Amino acid sequence: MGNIDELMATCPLKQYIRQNLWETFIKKLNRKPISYLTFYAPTIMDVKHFTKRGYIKFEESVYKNVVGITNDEPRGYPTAIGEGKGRLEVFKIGEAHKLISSSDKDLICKFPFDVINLDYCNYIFGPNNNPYISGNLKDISLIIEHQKKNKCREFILFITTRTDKRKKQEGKSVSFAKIFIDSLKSRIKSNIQVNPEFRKKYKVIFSGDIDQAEKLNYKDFINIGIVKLIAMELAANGYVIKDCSAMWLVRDEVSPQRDLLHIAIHVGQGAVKKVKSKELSQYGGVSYLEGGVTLILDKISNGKVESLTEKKDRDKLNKLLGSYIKQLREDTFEIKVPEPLPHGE
Amino acid sequence: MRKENQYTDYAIEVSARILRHISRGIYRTPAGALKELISNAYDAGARKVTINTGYPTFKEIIVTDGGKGMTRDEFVKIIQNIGLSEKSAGYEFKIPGSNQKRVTIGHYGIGVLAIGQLCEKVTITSKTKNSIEGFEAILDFEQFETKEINGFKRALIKDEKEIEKEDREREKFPIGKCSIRSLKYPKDNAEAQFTKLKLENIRNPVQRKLSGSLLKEYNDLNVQRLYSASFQNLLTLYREKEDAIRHGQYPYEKLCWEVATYSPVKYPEVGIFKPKSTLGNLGKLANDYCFEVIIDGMEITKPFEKAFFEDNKYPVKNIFCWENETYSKGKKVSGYLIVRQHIRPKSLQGILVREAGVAVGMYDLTFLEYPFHEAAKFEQLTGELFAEGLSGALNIDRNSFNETDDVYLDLVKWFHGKLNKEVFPQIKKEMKGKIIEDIADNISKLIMAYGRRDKKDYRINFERMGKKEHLFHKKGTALTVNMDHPEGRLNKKKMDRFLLAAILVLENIVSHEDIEMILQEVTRTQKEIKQHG
Repeated sequence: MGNIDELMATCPLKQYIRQNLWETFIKKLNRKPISYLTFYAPTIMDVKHFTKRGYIKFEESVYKNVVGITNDEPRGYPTAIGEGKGRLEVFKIGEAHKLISSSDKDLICKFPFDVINLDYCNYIFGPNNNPYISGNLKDISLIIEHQKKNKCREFILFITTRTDKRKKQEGKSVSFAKIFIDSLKSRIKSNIQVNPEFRKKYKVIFSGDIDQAEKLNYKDFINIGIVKLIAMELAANGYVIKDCSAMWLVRDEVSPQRDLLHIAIHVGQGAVKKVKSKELSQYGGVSYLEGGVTLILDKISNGKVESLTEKKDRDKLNKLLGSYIKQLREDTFEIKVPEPLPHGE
Repeated sequence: MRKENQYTDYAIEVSARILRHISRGIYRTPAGALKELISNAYDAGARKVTINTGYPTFKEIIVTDGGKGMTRDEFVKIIQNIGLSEKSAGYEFKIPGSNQKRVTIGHYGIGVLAIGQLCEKVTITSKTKNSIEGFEAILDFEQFETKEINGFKRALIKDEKEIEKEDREREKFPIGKCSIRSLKYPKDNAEAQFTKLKLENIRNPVQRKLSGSLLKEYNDLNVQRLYSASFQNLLTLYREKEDAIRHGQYPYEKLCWEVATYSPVKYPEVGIFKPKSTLGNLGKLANDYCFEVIIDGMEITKPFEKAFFEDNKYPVKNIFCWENETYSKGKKVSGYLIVRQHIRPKSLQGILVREAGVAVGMYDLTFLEYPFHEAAKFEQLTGELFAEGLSGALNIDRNSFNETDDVYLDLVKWFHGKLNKEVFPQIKKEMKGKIIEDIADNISKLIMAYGRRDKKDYRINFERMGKKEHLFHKKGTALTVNMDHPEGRLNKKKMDRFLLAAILVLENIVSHEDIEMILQEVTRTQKEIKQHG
């Protein structure tokens, strides 16, 4: 286990998100145990936490109905087999969209999932991605499609992405790809035009047009834009957003600062009205009138999207959650050995 | 001056070089070395031992057991006298926290050598019960250094010639250096007992072998890692990939399988090992060892897959079971043999001998060198023998027997007697019965098919009616065959003749009395031709 992994594993901010965002949303399903697909951090703290809370069944040394996917083989294996009390039921190395496209039988047969946690530590559409679609967006799209194929009526979707704008290197932007930002802008713009409720709530948060919103209130713009993007993907598969929330985790102890957006969506079945208008022709001609997107605007305007920063919140949260995190961390299959007192000799 | 016809006495001594060679490693495989560490935990009364292998890189291996632990003084004594263990084999003690008793496996106190074979450095932490004191020892096996020869890293003895020179003047042979410090634990932890071994700097060849990186040298071999959620899952993969495993692929799965075979762990609750099933008592015997081994979060059991007992295509045909039989003076053995047409994985074929629950070597397909040829029948057997009192017959690596040892020879004699007088005669009998059953089934199908051509419902049954009864009894379109009649004893050679006779009777071409005379005449003629040409 490397130092970074250890730091992530013991991060009280992340644990706060597990408890106050993720767990709150899982509760909405009103169901135990759950089936869980996770792009876990290499310490399976999420799996351990949900197991402790009774959402994941641990039986015969196996975390039942838990599927872990990682494309980091050297770090992934020791985690899947050595970091918990037992092993994940299915563990796959690779990218989700590639595994799904190649009809990986171990993964496919586990659909649908009650909870899907796509915890990307990088941008969901970075500058180096293919100009049309990123692997991460393909993941999201294919996973939702497979939920639908497998007749899932209700599920929880967590998406985490890095969002901070980094300085340009050799003339290239190292943040979200420009095409992605433009796409978010056009999606939000279309919603402003066709959805009066959205327009009303948008004006509470942003004073100017969408370009100004991106410049002046980048974080909220990204948050709304990504929710809108997911909402469209859901709508195309006959799903609606029943509830939605988000939290920010700002890693500011080490430069460069990283802003990580954690989005949680409660998804249910439902038809979303398609909107066709002349005004939309420039945005592709078809849009969905997703009422659910306004939920995130409500949360933002009511100050309910919390932002946690390492410098400000780490110590405070450590006092609150430190011992629980330690307990989770030590919850492995290995025999527990007591810690000696310092200065033993 | 030496006088003629007078004996002079000399001490027979072992050279330092041999001892050094032994200390470099006596275990054939990493699993063998791990077995030694597991055995130590077992003898220390541990109920559980956990192994974190650091898969897939194997950079660090951690073995922790909840056994009675060691004090600093005890440990110093061990490392200064490797091979002079005070504990003998067969020592019985009560397992802490249980009503069961355990018999020690016994060893030469060479666990440290097993560690030295696996890694260059180990940190040992240990603590005994009712004490707040423990110790931490760092062992550095300094005699080795890693040199690169032809692009391969190899563990070598440092300046071998110089050390050998020093060894001639020594009584003991240092194989490494050990630094120890005492530790104090909070009073709340006074009850805790454990031994934890953290093996670092795993030797390069060991690491390469375990991680399968040796395979990368074969450019056209693209081996993907396997993943098993549970040990049953791993057993399925092991069966499916056995040929590849035999050729060196998937070394991790092999390691787990071997550790499971070696260790005195319980049987999975499958098939005949379930409580109250045929081998439930043996299952209980293994459970009574109260010993759990967890590798990387996977609880291992004896390597029996559920599918082994639930395969309708190849069901278990027979089970031979022996309980507490005497094989040598005052020495008992229990065991079993399972007969199944298709034993997979093939590694299960043969007999496995266990001493105090721990396997000695792997499954032996020669059945302890059974001297008679039984062809494919050997491959249809898998079994285990739990023998007492074999510790004296074990070679130093505990992986094979001294085949000239009296007690071992008694066991071989006992086992071969069972094979010769009980097992193989019974298998042959059953095989013969099965052959007759197959012939009868074939005849029946052919007769029915023959009848269907003329839309006749011909049927044929086989019964035992005694030697005095006729061969055939006809009732309408049904024919009953007396299997006790000399012509009713079915075999493949006579099948065509028998079929023809049955059809002649069913078609009313020949009466059932006449057909017997005809058949007798044919048999007599055949004999004459055979005799006179």
